[in-house]
Amino acid sequence: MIRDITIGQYYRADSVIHRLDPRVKIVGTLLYIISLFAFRGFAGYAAAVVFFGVIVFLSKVPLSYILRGLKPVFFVLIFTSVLNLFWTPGESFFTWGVIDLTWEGLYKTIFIALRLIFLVLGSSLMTFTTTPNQLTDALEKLLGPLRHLRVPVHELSMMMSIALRFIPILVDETDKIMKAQAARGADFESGSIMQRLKSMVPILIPLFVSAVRRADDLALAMDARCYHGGAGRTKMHPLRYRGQDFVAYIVCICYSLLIFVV
Amino acid sequence: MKDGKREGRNGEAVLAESHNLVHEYSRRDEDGNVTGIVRAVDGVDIQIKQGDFVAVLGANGSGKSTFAKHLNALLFPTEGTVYIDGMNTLEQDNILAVRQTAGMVFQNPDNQIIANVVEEDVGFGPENMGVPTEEILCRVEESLKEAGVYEYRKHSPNRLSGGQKQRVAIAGIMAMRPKCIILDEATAMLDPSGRKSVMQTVQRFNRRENITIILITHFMEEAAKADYIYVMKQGKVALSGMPLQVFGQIGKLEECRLEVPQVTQIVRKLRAAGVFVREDILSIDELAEELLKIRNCS
Amino acid sequence: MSIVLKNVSYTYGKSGSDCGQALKDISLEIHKGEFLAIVGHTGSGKSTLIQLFNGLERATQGEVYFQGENIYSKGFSMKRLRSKVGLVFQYPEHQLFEATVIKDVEFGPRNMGQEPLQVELNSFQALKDVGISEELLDVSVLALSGGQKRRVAIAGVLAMQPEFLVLDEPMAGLDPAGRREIFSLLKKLHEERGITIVFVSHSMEDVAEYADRVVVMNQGQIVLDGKPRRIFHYEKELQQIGLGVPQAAQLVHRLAERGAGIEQDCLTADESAAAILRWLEK
Repeated sequence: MIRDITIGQYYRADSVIHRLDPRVKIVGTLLYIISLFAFRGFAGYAAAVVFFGVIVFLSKVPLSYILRGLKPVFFVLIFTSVLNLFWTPGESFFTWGVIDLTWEGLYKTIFIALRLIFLVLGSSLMTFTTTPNQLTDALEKLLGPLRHLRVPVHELSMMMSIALRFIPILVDETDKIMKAQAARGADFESGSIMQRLKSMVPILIPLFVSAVRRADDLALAMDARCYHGGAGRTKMHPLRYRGQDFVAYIVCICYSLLIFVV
Repeated sequence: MKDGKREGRNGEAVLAESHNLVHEYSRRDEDGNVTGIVRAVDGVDIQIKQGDFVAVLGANGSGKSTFAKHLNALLFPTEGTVYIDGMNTLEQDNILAVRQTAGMVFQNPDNQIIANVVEEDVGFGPENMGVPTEEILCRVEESLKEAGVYEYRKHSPNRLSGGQKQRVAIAGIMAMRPKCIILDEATAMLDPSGRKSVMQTVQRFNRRENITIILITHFMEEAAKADYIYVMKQGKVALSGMPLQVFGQIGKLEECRLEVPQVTQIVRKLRAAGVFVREDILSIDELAEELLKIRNCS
Repeated sequence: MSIVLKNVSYTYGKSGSDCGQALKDISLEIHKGEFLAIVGHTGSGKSTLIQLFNGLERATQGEVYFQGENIYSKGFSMKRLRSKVGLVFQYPEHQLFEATVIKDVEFGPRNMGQEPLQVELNSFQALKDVGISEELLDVSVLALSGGQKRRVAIAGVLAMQPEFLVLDEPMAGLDPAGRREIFSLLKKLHEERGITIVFVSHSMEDVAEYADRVVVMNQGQIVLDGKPRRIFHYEKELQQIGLGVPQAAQLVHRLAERGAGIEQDCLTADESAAAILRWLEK
């Protein structure tokens, strides 16, 4: 079940978008999201759709694959839509019994749905085209100036990258522990909520113990490989802007300027 | 004491040595009160020459792993001293150099790979040491090739087998340009083919590049490949010598919760029955050869 | 009284690159009273296979029978199956979770719905069987040594009173003496309690010494099945699939290849030495 979620997964392909510097993609995605909230009226959203379409085309990620990312937010989408559609006061265009639909409600529903959909699609497109490593590297670099405010930027990005590495391992481990306890007759599916919560204890304790052991081992292994924080560290794949990245920045800025035009 | 290169038994450079090394840790109860002191390592004197392949044998809990962690400055002596390439591990300024000189591969393959891509993991050590980018790329490529895992360089470590993961870890050490690799029970969790591939890899580094290998293990077949063996029991060196000298003392090994390889057992049994096979045989092929010779002579 | 697998296949994943066939058309009968070893290279399907025995994994094709009953039929109690076919995973000590030794062992039998008194009695007996002394019953699991933890974990399964005990690499990570202790424990359970033992192993020396039947797996299929003595004749075939034979058997094979008229049926160092002596005297 956990594996069905596509958000945050990398889609391997060779495209202009994949090759862009991850910093451009993060900044671009941010600008895009801001634009979604800043646009008023249909022209702006039309621009957002077109812009997104062009990027998807360039990225070589199949549209169907990107759309799958909407699955987890589907219910949120329906819920907010219904809420806005039925409970927005204004000039009504359809009344039937207690149901009273208004033009304001309709517009609001469409805009909010569009915002939500493209927010999810835009950010998942970023993760599809950027490896987790590039993302953490880029965040470390972008947030770099915060170091002067004593924010442990390097440490945070190291933590993120380690978490990414160990999540699949711990998922497998959970599966294994569940099976082992099931072999001893543990039942995770039936009973009241309290009983079910209680049945998690034999899974959570071994999982926690194992996570602590792994953390311990990993800390030793990092020490053994001369890790001593971010100071004096070099990079195997340092982030370097190239021509295409500047072009991409200009495109993004031009796109954001649309906010003031439409 | 920073006295540069030290010399050993036959005049060769000594890479690792411990003098009367003692390591104690305190056992605590749930409230954190000290309930007892355990001497995990108890007066160990070891001298390992540059380029040697040394095995440290011992049962679980014999102190062999604790000893190994001293060679990498991950633990520090309670008493005594440890020198790596002439550097005292107790001196704060030496720590990074010690860890770079004597790299360490650990038991659990999963818990020592830090990065999400194989090649990035191999680059982790050099990155920490501040090696320039171009040089890192060079070293990573070379180490991956030598460890036989170059084809997986773009893979996620999660997709590799245990033996492959351990070879990635070895490549990660080699990229730091060490003089010595310590394998701290690095084969314990592998299947026979994974174990074999790891052993072949370190033997290659030992022979071709004169890298000192310190193998911590309880597998006798692996120790049989070493130049010299130390056997540990309850924190002390109970036995030491060339593999043949050590394997000859079956009784003593059993006291140490170990056992000799089947070849040695067979040689012993044949000799006890009056067949004069050479005592210094450690491989099946050699023994077969010897037996055919004996049969043809009689 | 047996576990029967009939034309069983197992496919994991739904589609795409993550999908694959772990087991292909396997038929196997495990008889009561056997001491069976399952060997195979990592990824040969042996771990999946043993999880079919107690219904933790469900075959995608084929049938599994326990004592003549189809375990996939409606109304079949998986709980009862799991108490009759005890499964001990690799590194089972990693699944201990209770505060004390005895409490952890009681987890299984209590889940099986045994009477409280029975739970205590069975747990106590199981711990005694695995050689955990009484003063350790109320000790924290964390205070035990590696070998002790493993034995407590085995006791946790034994306390459910299984007729079949299936173990995935029960000696992984133990030193030679520790391995010996686990095996003499299994031998004792086999002989004194009549429990059928099935174990997965990489060590051909252990297989040769303890098992009375060996099933060799490769790429999801059973490639050899028989007595160790017979199986170890196939040294070349075993090597091709990443396995080997004990050194004792290797030695007599080497000699035979060089034209020596020597007995080939050697499993242990003792047998091998005796065969060599007889050959030299010829």
